[in-house]
Amino acid sequence: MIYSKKMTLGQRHSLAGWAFLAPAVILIIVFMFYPILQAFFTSLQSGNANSMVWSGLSNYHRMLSDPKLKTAVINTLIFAVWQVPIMLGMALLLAGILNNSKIKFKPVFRTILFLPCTMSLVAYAIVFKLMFATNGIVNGLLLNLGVIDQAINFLGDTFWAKFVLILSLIWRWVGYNMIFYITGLTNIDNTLYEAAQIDGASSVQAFRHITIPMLRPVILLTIIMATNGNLQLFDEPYNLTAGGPGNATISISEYIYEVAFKSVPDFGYACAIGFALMVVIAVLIILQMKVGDSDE
Amino acid sequence: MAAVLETTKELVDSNTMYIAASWDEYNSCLNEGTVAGVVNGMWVNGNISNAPDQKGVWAVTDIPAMDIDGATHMTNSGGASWVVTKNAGENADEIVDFLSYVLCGEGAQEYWEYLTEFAGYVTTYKPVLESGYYENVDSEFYGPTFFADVAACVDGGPALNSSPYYMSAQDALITEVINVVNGSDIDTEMQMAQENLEFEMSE
Amino acid sequence: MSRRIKHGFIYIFLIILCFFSLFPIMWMLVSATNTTVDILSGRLIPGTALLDNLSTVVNDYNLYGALWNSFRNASCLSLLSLIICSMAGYGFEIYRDRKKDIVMQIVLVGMMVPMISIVIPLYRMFSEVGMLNTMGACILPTISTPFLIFLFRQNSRSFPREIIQSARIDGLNEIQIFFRMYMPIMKPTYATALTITFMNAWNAYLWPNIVLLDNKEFTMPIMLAYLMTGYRMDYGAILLCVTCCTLPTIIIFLLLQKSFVNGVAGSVKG
Repeated sequence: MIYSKKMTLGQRHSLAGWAFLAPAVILIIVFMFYPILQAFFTSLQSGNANSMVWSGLSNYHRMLSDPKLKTAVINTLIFAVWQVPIMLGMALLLAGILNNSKIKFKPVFRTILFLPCTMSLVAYAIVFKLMFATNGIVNGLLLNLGVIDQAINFLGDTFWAKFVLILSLIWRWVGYNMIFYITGLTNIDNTLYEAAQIDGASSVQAFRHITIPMLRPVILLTIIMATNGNLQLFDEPYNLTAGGPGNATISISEYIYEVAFKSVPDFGYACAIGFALMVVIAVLIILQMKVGDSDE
Repeated sequence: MAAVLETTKELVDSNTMYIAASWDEYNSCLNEGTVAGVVNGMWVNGNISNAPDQKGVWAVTDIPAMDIDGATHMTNSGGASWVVTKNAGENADEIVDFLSYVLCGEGAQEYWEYLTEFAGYVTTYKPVLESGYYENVDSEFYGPTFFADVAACVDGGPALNSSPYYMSAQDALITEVINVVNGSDIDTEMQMAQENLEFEMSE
Repeated sequence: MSRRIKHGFIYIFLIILCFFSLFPIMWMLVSATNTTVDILSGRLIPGTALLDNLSTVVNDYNLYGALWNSFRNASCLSLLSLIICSMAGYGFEIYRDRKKDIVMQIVLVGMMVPMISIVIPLYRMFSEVGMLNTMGACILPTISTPFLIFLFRQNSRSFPREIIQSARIDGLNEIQIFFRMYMPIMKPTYATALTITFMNAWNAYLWPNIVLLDNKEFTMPIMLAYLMTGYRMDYGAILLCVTCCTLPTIIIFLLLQKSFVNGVAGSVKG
């Protein structure tokens, strides 16, 4: 092929653009797309790491009758159903309050409420684990205040362990979503609120009819991020409760990790669950975006 | 197993026994003297002796046998193992011979004496037990009769057949115990543990 | 309800929430100065064991090693990530055309890939080239992320094109334009991206835990998890380690918070 040495200015620029984005895109292909392809192929195999054989969809078939996977899925759903609405609701409420120009010390409140988000997931899981231990500070305070007369084994009780995990998740992520809502709120024109006030609307009505619709894209974004994060939950259950007590808090990601690295490793099966998880996440994201776009 | 579950639940409900929620809590109970005793493998003496202020306060005894046929006063729960992997290739036989020599052959006495002094382990290998070694060795932390007491407790509990699914089986049983203690029905839990394990062991 | 009373309730509500927000962090800081015995008995005021805990942590737990590993990994990751992803955002937005938009869509699909699904193939990949247990293996998979590319592309929309035109007239080539014009003007975006990337890199656990096999290579989060499996629980020392893991990210946030919020605003507006 003979190249013409003279490209148009536009072509040269376009080529420069490709050069700029090439490194990032190549990295994504190598470390994200290629592995997921490999994961799919591994999911079609079974056996030990060094001697795997092709076995078609047997791993996927296996998923359907896996009791522990069922437990993990139910747990993950319970966490999502409780954690996401409470967390987003509180974040919205706080953002609304902190956007009100008449409240003083706003930056201070905002900073303090965001501080939990700076903690490493492992770090705060350990702090909460120690705080809620039977001989921990929470039990100590509850006993001293006379609320209970015997220490509660929070992390050894199948109900309370879930409670502590959900509580810690909310604690950690409210501030993060709050920031998104605050920035979304600052984009809303104040004249809309003034007009509503003139029309005699109460602040609740203004909230329902102006704030929420205008915040729709941000709310959608946070819902997607929150459900995505919940489905992939790993660091917190792993370090706070290790999936216990007795599988009460095991999450899907944790189960994949167990299948892959603990006891008798089964990479094929682990990849199958991992791949299925990705498909579920993708479907959910697409669904959520469709719902968000539909009633404009 | 059902008897074990019932007994455990009774112990926990009557506040006689406490099930720690995690490894670090388990350790902390031992180190801080929160508990009066612990049921575990011999190796736990290492955990306990990490707390200097607990010196001389601990002793050893055997566990009560359950009220069923064939119950014993001690049991095996496996623990550390020596394995020869496929990577050994042609040297595999030699390695196996060496291990037999050390663990249950002529080198056993020396090996187990070393382990006792170094890490406080006690063997269940009869020739070493009967050699009288444990009568004469002292433990600084636990006192002069400690090892003799442990050796006396070894009365030949059931042998342990290990398979790669050993940990999975253990996990399934632990889950059973925890769920029963938390109020679940014994039969349901036993069945679930069986199902879980069978699933894991299937292809 | 009078405005005064309503505001009073709001302040009380905020203060209560701030208390809950801060309590675990305060407890962590206070406990780092106490002994295990005191912590277990519910002590809430600082003690005098800070130096003892510090010496345990430095001597027995290899604190400096883990801190350095975390710092080195997070810094390298952030630097590379910022340059590579900002270049990509720049390329996608400034030289925008149909083909590049399609590629961008494909890149965004990458956001749906959960880390847990690719850890096994990634592990095998690095194992085959003998890169297990290296910093490279630890940071390579997360240098380029769709989110960061997206952030830079969105925020590049507000970059004035006239600057580029006049720079070209002045004879600068494209690379010079990027480094000398784009980067300085986009400082706020870089600040946001730095905060997010550094914090994520510092706090990363799942992948580093899988690929780093040696105590010497451990980063702070891995070391923290590891400490909880020891044979002697020294809670004061452990919580001091947790503090050391947390303080850097708190400091970075406090320093950069204004630009962080602005950066989020930029991407939310788009």
